Amino acid sequence: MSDAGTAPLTILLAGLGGQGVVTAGDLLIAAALHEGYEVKKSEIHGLSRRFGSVSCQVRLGSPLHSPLRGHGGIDILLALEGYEALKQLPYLKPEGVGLVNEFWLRPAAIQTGTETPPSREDPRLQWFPGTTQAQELEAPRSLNYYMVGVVSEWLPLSETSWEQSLAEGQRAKAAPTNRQLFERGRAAARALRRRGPRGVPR
Amino acid sequence: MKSAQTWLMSGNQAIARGAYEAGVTVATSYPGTPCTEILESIARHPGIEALWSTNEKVAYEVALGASFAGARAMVSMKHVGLNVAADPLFSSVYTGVNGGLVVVVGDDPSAASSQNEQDSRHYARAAKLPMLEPSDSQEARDLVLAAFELSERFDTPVLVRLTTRICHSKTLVRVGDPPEPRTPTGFIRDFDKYVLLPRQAILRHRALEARVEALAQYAEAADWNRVEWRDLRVGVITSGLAYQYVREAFPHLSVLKLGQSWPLPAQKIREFAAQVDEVWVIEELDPFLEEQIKALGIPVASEGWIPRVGELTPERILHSVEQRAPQPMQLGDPSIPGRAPRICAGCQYLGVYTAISRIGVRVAGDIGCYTLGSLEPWNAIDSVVCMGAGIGTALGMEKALGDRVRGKLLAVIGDSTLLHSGLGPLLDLVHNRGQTTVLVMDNSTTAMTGLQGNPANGQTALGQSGPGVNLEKLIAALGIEWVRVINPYDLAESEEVLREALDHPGPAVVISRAPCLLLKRRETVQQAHLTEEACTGCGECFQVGCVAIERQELAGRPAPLINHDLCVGCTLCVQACPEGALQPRRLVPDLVELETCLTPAQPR
Ligand code: SF4
Ligand code: SF4
Repeated sequence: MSDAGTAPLTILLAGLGGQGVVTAGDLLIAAALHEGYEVKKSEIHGLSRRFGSVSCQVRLGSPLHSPLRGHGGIDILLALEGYEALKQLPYLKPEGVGLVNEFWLRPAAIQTGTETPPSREDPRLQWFPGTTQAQELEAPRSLNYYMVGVVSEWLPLSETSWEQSLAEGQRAKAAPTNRQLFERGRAAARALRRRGPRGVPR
Repeated sequence: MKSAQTWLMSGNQAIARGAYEAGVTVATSYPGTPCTEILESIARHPGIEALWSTNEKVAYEVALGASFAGARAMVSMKHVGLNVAADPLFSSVYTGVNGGLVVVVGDDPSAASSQNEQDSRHYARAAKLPMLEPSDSQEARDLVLAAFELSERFDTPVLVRLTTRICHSKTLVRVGDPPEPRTPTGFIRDFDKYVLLPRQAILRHRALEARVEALAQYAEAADWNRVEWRDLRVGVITSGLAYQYVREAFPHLSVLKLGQSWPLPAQKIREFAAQVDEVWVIEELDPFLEEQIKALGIPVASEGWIPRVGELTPERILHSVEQRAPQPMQLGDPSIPGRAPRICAGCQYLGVYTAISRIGVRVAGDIGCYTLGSLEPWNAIDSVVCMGAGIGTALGMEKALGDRVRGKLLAVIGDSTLLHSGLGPLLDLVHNRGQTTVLVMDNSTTAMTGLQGNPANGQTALGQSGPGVNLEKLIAALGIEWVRVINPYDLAESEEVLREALDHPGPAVVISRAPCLLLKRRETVQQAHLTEEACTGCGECFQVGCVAIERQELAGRPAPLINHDLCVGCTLCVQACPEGALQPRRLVPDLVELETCLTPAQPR
């Protein structure tokens, strides 16, 4: 297990059914386990599977007790869709960071109403063109790999751990594309961090 | 072979693993979130008879029978399932067991996928059997093993209580070795134990009271009730997942963690309380421990602080304790609209509910995917209570209102729910001369919980397949003469047959039959397309309620925008449009995969 000095880090993953939120969580878990961290993961099942919001929390570090945190307890919000990101914002710590895929799918309740998405002005949010990138590679369903690449820049996990994680349980056919998207996400995040965004939890 | 392997497991998987290591011979269940995965997981272990039962009562009785026969047996169910199984539960505490019998129940704080938020710990006290409460996956595995020992040592069924977050959270588990082979002893006749006639019931009750005393005594030294000494100004008594939240929220406080929430180790609690300045009791849902601790004469300083509605989080506990008052339940930002669950694009229910909302009847609903018919745009269901409640409540309305509701009452129930607990009410409808119409939604599976087998589709938990029950013959055999099967994708026919059934003097059953879209990945061969010039903006197509039909503005009027990633070409909207503005267009050769819109959360 990791040394007790690594304080717990909590990541909330959010998105829509079919976007691969849970798989993204599994990739984080696999990398963290390889790194020797203690991990806990909390998933929401049940009704949420039908076109609904999907979310899960991944925690790593120690000491680790609860599998989830409540409002104001999340270090990193990783969202695959805009509304889901905004919905989950109350969970984010004031000093936390939100990494969001630039993609909006209006909930049924506002399909009729306003065209304008709600304010995205929260300074904690960073936006990434995951959907565009995934479409460019003709792999819309591998969007989650792009966003995992993005978040990898914020996590204390080594290259080898990500190698391991990406290699595990891969359908051979999709693997190269997934890998490519991961790298693109990672590169985009690195570029952003070089430009010096707000403080990030490490 | 000595294995010291560590696996990342959900609470459900850990329960299954524990049962496997304990040498369970028979495991039974009825699907229900949050516990469905327990039996699915057990079925993957070798040498275990894993059964999906017709309902939780049957599941309980089958497990009890296996225990009588000397085998170790486990039955698992969601909280409301235990209500169904309560009858055999209470009496099996009198008979006791032969092989160990463990009853796993999953509560659902926040009612994420349930009709209520009950705290099943009350069952332990009401039925007088011990209850163990794990706080993570490791304890889930460990306490199942302990529960089998306890069951056999004290001749009692043992409850293991989980909550949704335990069931679905993954934490590391050190697993043990596969079990030594066990041969059930066989049934040993013991009249005074297994035959609960009145005299025997009294004898057994006497034995039961003595057993409860012994269990309470045993709890004093049991290692699952443990004290962690830290700061002595406050001592927190807690159980289940609340323990993990307490450790997160108040890492510096002393804790008495109760792995057994009934019967309590009174002496241990007193000793703990005596060492600290004040006692807090922090538990999820009801003040179950708190009331018992107060009854011991121990003041509870945190009385009234802890929320009783909705699940806890470490932050919510912290806030409530700081404020000395329960913090109301919070989810995400309320100003951002949520995404209510929706019926799948092209599901048979769209057609049926469109027809029902056109007819305008009072509908007593039931539990399954089709419960979503209670929402916009159909608003087709007026009551939902519990599994199998629809037919009975409809009959009750009929008996109360007589002619005022003649021809205007419909009960809606799915195939799996009908077999779970709808046949009794259906028979009652016949016997008591009811005239309510019953609509059976037959999608050939238990869809809501992830496509389990049931007696209607003939699939078992171990993968055997067979013809399944013939619903028409079964219903006819109950004495219902008027039974018709409709194709729910024919809107006009559905409406007409339903009207006929409602007009029929006497009970009538309509079976709407089409397989759940999740059952098979089928090719989409056509999709709906809009001819913009023909659309008058009447909005009829929106009344179908299909997720693939989004809205756009055309010439200042609302018009449908078909999402071709989702449309499966069922043609219901085409039939609903009075202007012929929507037409199916064949897709060639580039076939759209249904899977893009239907992705179950769990890998199957
Ligand atoms: S044909 Fe119409 S109702 Fe059927 S799936 Fe397509 S959009 Fe939905
Ligand atoms: S039902 Fe037909 S005419 Fe009416 S809004 Fe829909 S497409 Fe247009």
